[in-house]
Amino acid sequence: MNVVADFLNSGIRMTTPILFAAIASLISARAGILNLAIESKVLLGSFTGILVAAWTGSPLAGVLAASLSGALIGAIMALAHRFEVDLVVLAIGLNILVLQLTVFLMRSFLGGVGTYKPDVSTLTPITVPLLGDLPFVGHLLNRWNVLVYAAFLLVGLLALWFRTRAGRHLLAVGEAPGAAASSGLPVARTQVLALIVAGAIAGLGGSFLSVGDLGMFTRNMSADRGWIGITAALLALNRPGLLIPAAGVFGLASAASIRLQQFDVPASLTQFLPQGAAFVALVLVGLRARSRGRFLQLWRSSSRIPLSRRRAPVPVDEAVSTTEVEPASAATTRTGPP
Amino acid sequence: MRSARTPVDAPPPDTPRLELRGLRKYFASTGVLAVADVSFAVQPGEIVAIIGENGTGKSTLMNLLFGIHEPDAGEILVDGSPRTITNPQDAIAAGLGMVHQHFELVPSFTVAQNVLLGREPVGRGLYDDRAARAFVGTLAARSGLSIDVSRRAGDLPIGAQQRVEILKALAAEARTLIFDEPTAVLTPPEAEELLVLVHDLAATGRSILFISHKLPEVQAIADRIIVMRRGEIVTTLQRGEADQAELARLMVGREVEQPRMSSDASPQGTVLDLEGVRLPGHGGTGEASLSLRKGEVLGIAGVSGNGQDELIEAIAGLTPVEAGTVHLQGRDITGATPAAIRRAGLAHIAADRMAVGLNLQASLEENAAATAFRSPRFARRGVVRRRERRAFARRLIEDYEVRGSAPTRAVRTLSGGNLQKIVIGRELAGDPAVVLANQPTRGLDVGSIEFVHRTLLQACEAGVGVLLVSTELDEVLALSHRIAVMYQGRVIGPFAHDQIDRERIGRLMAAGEEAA
Repeated sequence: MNVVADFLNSGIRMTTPILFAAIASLISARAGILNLAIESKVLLGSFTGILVAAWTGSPLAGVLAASLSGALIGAIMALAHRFEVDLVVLAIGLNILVLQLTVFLMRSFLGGVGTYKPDVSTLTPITVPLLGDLPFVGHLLNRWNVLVYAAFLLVGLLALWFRTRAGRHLLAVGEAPGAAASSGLPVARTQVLALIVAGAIAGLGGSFLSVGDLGMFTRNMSADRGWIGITAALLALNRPGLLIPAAGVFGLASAASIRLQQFDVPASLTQFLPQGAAFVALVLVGLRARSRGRFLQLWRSSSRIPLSRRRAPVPVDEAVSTTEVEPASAATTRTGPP
Repeated sequence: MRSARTPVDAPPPDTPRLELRGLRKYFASTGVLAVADVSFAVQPGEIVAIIGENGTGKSTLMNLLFGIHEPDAGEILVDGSPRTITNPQDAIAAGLGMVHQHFELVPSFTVAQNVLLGREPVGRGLYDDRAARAFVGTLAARSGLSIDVSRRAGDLPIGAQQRVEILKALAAEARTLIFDEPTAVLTPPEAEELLVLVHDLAATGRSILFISHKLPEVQAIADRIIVMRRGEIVTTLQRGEADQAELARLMVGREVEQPRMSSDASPQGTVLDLEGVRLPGHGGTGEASLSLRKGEVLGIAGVSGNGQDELIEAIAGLTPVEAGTVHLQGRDITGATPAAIRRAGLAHIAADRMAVGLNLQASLEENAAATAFRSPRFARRGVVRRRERRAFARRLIEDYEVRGSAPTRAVRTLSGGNLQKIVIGRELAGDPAVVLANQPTRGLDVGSIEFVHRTLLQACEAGVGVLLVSTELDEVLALSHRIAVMYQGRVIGPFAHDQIDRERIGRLMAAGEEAA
């Protein structure tokens, strides 16, 4: 029993930063942007978070600063997007830049070689009234810090927000920018806001790692959590309702990789678990896309029409009137948009 | 004939609903004066058609009205007062509604959600889908548009998607509706339905701007016809003032005629031979067999969706054949790669020139050499010979009169007619033995259609075998030496041109067999 509880406990802890990253990825994707810079936002968040917490002595101030630093990277991407910069290329640059920048700053100014551990307290756990009284789950769900609750709460808020006008506008912008623009929606502004908010949320995930959990910063502290978050969002088909289970899969895989080391399984194998889960998840998502014929559509003619409709039988009366059209230049019959 | 509709408010007396004064638009990037000093007015309840060839400035003019481009000079007046329109929101606020040629719908949203995008009803802070469905349902019923408001827009047939676009404009209380080539994507029955609807909308006092290059429908519906050529208004005609031939002449600026195949040609020797080809998606319903001879046009008529696309793709190697064999100049090409089939002497004018025939993002010269990029003519040891490629593109532009372009320019800015000229020029350049022409004139204007027809017939006279697939019966009848009909994946015929008439083809298209 104790082993299971410990495992689930560490699962929740591992899930939290992945969930933040997944929310950030989902918001970007739903705004129609492939945001591959989440890793850099998480990493910068964890660095800024602990730094500001050490300066001010307040872990909450660190969390706030971490969020702002993530938003800053989001704003850089948004600016670049307006100038039609390729965001995939930019994201690769940002990921490398932040990784080296944090190492550089840590070594030059903070005196840490591989780690920076200031004398600062981490976020205090919150005791939720009544929750602790529940058997088993009460113990499991209680006494987490504010970021853990925030992550799970954010998912619910997001699901609700997609049912508001503003939320639906975001969905429209992401899926069909042309349709959104012709209905008078501000496409560019919506995408800018989405990128900034996604950055802020990814930054929160970073701050959980440093300020919320360990009270220190290490080189490459994010350790692929941004990427795994993107994978989790993909696995959840970018639907808020599936996001917690999807992120949970990776969180539990991470927890398992730590537990297994106690059983003399080589670390080189166990550390592969989260990334291995991500690989399997991506294969699943890919297979699903293929089963829907999406890959085929890449090269088929009339590619913008679903395959199912291309083969729809044509009613006979329609066929007859085709032959009755008189003049030479009269009508073209539909097989697809010109 | 339709249910009651809501009339709209009239502008002040003696004021046109919409007036354009001296509108002008120059595109510095391409050096094209798309719209030059255009002025006209539209009265309430009036249907004004604007006709002109592709790339003549019609669509630019509409984009100026809808705030997608800003005019360099001139003004737009709505109900007598000048309006600045810099984005679609301004246009919507001014009571202008646009029914786009390429529909602007969110595929995963329902009809109601699309119609009310940007003006959704809200209850308790959340979007209220029930209210949306009720509102749009009422609006649709009142406007005589039959549509299921809770279906996803992406699942609707094209004609219904267009009705959603119209509902969007009506929901925004548009008093002027702009239709940009609305029938280009519709089947003939859908097109007829649309014309009735447009007429009814005008009867409620709404003004209609109807852009088209299809002369019969323009003649059927317009109160007034504005003819545009190269960005200018050539003339304005009242209903019934000119017949179709006259309109075509005004539009193109010269006489237009339908080229016909010469019946004294004597095609010899089979170049393409299909035997018992079973096509994917038409499993078991029938086998396609046909043989195409050197120097003839074999026309395949049929209602769209009866396997024509699959047949062409199977020959071109884009779709696997489930059974049967395909021989090109005596060589078995069944299951060969598209590149190998092309090397064996096949050219393919794809039905969808935007997605398959061309790469819109690439330059004209890249597109021109796209099917021969490995040939020693355009590449030496794997390195592109730019000078050769550019010279080839230049000659293509000249020979095929691709107006307003240059070898290095991205082709996406070109009109449909010019895009098709690039495709055809490229396909015929490789001295093919067989040309597959799938809907080669779809969406083209009168002048471009004439050009495409003439080019195909010239190729045929030079000894090429042309397999023409078209849903336009007149096109098939005018160009083909022999005619076959496709019905449910089966090829019926072919019949010699003088052994079959329009009625018989019509019966075959509709039922696949002749009534006893």
